[in-house]
Amino acid sequence: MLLKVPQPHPSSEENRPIPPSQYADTNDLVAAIKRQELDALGYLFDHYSSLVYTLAYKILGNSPEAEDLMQEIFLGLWERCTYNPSRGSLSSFLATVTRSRAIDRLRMKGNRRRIISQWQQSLSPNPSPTPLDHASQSEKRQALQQALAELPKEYRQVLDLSYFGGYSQSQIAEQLDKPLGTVKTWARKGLIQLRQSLQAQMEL
Amino acid sequence: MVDPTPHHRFEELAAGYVLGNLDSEEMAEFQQLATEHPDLWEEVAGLQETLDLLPFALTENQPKPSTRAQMMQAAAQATPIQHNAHPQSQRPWGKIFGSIAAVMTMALGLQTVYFQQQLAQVRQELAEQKSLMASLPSTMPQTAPRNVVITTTDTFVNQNWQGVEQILVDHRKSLKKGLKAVDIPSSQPMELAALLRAQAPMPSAMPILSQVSFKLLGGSVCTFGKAKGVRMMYDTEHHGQVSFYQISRSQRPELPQLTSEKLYLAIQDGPGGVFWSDGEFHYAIVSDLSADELKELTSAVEIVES
Repeated sequence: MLLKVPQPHPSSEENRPIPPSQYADTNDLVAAIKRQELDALGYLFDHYSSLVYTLAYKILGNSPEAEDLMQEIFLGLWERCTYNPSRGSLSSFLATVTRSRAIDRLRMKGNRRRIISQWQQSLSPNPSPTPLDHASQSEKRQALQQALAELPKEYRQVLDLSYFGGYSQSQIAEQLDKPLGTVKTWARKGLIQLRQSLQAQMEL
Repeated sequence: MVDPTPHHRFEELAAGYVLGNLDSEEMAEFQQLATEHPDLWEEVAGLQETLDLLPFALTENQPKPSTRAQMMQAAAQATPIQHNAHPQSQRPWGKIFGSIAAVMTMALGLQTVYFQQQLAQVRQELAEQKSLMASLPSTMPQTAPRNVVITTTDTFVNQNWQGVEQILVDHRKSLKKGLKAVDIPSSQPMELAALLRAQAPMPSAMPILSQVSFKLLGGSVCTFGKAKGVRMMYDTEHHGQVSFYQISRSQRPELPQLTSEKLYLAIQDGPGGVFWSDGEFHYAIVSDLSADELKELTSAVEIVES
């Protein structure tokens, strides 16, 4: 069964008022971008830049590079819109593209500046309260953070290193000084439990 | 009939697949199960969806406000890229292959004997190479296996290795279609692998063609008999369009008994290919190149962890 988690809306919503949309849906927005309408690009940026930047910053670890990658991704869509709405939500597409390109950048540099210990807190639940006036977005984040908080720390850490760090399982095993099989099992169980936990929350 | 596969095993393999951490035995088991139980793909999609939600758990950061104006200015100045069909797609393949087929049909009687001998010779050579590899001291690197080159014809391939023929036909079709043959356009291998992973088996350690002059155009899911795979299309500066296939191992369609040794098939007047296997997947690079050029091309193969 697929998760029935609603796709998060553009995250900039939390910081700026959203004007009434002039686009009926994502297809309409994509069509406007393909027609090279600058307003559509501005709309796309306003709604999705926070998601792209947050993820790029998380992986690349510094603001200039994250902003550079963010611009590359939005300008890439402007020059050649490769997103196909029939394959999933735009936010998921942007997250996939951002993560992949950020990790490609890390690998091209051969520069893993951050060490494991710096990753340990990154997927930990955020103790600061989420603004109540953005309940929809914050509820989604809280659901994910709660599900992550329910995972054993090892599972969470391995998922974090694998997903955001782009480390192979053998690199993680080496750095954590654990057998490869253990690391693989933690990652798999972590993902399965995360899904089950989110499904349980959706059923409440 | 009761399904002998416990659900937790099903789930574990699907999770390992999504995470890209299946070993070769597990990958074979996964592929077998996916063939027998297509609903395994639904399990994969659900777990992939869960993994894709991780970015939304992050506490938000905002870019500098000035980045919006910079981007809008750059977009206003950018000239939209026109994507015309690749010139290679204009090649008259149908005509060329029609002529070849006519000539080959006439010559088949004589050639069959010759090629059967050649095939036997190749098999012998492969056996000798395996024996040689096995006899090497364990301290010697085994990463540079010898290559095998066969010069043959389209007809011979069709008669002996339907799988190879299907791959060659798929390549020719993709040449005709040009960029339309690319379902998912992307110039980033990692990105492309991530987008293809939920639709088809992808190796966790993925070979790519890495050379500055090679441009990755994108990829598509393709099916050969019972085997599912992906086709990555590259545009090379001097050698035209190249198709790079990664296909899950299967009894059908029939392929040569592939190993990590590279098998070069130079096909008279047609596109040639290099084929090999890593135990989990079959790989094929097909292009309109000579065997020597293909060797040069495969020297650009690099393994990346996806």
